[in-house]
Amino acid sequence: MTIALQVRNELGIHARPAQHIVKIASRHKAEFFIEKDGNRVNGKSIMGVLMLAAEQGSTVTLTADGEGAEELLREIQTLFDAHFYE
Amino acid sequence: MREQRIQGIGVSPGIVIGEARVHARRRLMVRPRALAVDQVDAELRHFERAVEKSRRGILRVSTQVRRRLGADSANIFEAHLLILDDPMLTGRARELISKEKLNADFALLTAMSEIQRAFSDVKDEFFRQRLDDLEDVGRRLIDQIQSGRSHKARSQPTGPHILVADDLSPSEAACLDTTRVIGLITEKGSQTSHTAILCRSVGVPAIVGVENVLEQIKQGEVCILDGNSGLILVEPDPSTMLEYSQLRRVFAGFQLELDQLTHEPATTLDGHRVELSANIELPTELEHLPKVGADGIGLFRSEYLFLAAETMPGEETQFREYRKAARAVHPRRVIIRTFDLGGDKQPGGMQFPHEANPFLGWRAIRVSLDRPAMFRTQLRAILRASVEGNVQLMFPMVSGVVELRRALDFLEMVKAELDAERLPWNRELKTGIMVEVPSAVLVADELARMVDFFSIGTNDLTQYTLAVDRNNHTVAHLYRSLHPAVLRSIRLTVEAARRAGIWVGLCGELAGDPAALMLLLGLGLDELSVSPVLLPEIKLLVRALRMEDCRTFTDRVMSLGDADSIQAACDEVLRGQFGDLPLWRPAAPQGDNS
Repeated sequence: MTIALQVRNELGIHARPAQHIVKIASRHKAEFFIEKDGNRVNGKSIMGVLMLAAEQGSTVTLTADGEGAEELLREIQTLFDAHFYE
Repeated sequence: MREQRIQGIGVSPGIVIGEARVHARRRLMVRPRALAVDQVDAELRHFERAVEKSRRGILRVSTQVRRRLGADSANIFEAHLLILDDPMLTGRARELISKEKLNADFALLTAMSEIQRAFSDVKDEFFRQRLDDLEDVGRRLIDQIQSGRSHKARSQPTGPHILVADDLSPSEAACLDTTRVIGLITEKGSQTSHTAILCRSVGVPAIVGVENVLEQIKQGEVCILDGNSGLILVEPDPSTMLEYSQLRRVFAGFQLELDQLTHEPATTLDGHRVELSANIELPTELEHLPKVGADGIGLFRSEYLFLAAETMPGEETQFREYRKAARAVHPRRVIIRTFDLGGDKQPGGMQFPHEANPFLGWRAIRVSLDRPAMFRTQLRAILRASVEGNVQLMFPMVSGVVELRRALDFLEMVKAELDAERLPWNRELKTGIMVEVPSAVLVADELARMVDFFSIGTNDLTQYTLAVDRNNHTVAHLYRSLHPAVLRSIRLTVEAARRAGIWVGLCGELAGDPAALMLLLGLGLDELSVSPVLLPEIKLLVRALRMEDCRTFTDRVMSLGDADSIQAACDEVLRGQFGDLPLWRPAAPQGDNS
């Protein structure tokens, strides 16, 4: 399943938000990918997530597949909604 | 070989003699080897052991940094742990070992370069910085892989040595083994860099600003490091050696004398008590504060919480840090200055506009007033910590009444908010301002009616009064804190405070200058706040002075019309009174503005 989310915190997905994302993703068995502007990276890879250089206002597409996919996406959505706690 | 003299900037006092150990970034030596099919499993196991050893290594450094530099600085190591488990790095390396039958170190290097290549499209410097972390983790892993195979053991002097490096990162500095590193010499760094502050706080003599240091000093060469004068003598002649051995004894004796003053008050010979407090810039300085014997903290630079970290620390983190500082000096006071950001202090991760004149731009209280969420968080944390009873609050760079009123109104609002949430704060909380802008000096009588104390910041006051940016090398020589205009500003501020019945201190670098001491006492300052490393010296001098002499001297000096004459008079009286003491006169620093 796939959802699209907008990055709303001022600094975009820099080190700390990326850490949050990867930590959540790594707790789940499901495969998880993040895509931005045609670049698709493994959402469990911190360097991958940083490579997207997702700045404020950009939109990312999140795809999860397999066991716990739904829950994973729900947790990530909460994280985005909370502006990565910043 | 003849001795060689190199001049640097002494940033931490003391004289040491020892062997140089050169800390250079080694080039990675990794060669591809094709593995036989039956070697693959062993190589994978070898790789996993290296990963686990690296994990323990990162955790160790993280603990060290947390202890010495604070929790927020340690956050970067959490990222390092995630990089260590990154599928694109170690995952990819495993794949290369098992499928391509590559040796572990080469597999890892390949995975690293794949990531680096993929980052080449990323233009934003902010995101690219993370490549440094990748490099850190990658090198650590490769080291482990290679040392596990008992590659050639690196020969490193294990005894006491002088560390020579082009630069040290804050985490490298935090991990300095001060039982073995007796001195430090670097090419980069300044009076106010973390490394310098750390060396001062742990009492390791240090010199920075030595050009091409790695070419000038070679592994194993004997060096004399004089942190007082910033002079390095490489392979010294026997006569120089003798001279410095004696100097070192004098200095060590003087240190002993200073140590005995820890529990003595800063009182002049004629019984005038001066508050002598410390400027705190790093958590590690708090640890070492007890042996300095300070009357509390006169300036707690709260922005260090921010500068060391990537992002704004939350209310809880700040609250804990403020409370820790309060408890460290209880019952003596700690004056927490709200964030002084902007100018030359721009933390990564915060957006600052490009300004033609950053020092005349978006700085300090102006930033706080424009960022109510940030300001509110900080004031809440300070107010909550104020229940300790000894916390006081100070706003930086206030330039006039309207600005101060806005800050005070905001403070009242935050207090009301805490009340509504039934969170306690100290109702007796004292609030003051830094006086460091000429306009504040000229309306000091108005401002004095609104606050409980003044603290004069001579670094900024000098640069604003004289219109000299001391980081600008073309005009830096015009930066003179002993300029009569600066001294008259101090006098005006003291007089305004007197009339309003509030106390007034001084927390700029001038407070730590032995030559200025008589003058500052004579001007009637109630408190001097200095860097912890200078405090014992200043205390010793205060205790050897008479207030009456200070006043007489000040009357004479205040009638002089130019900085040169004033400097000469101050130097002369210092020589006359204390010429035989090995006092440390810090070199003109760069880039700090309190």
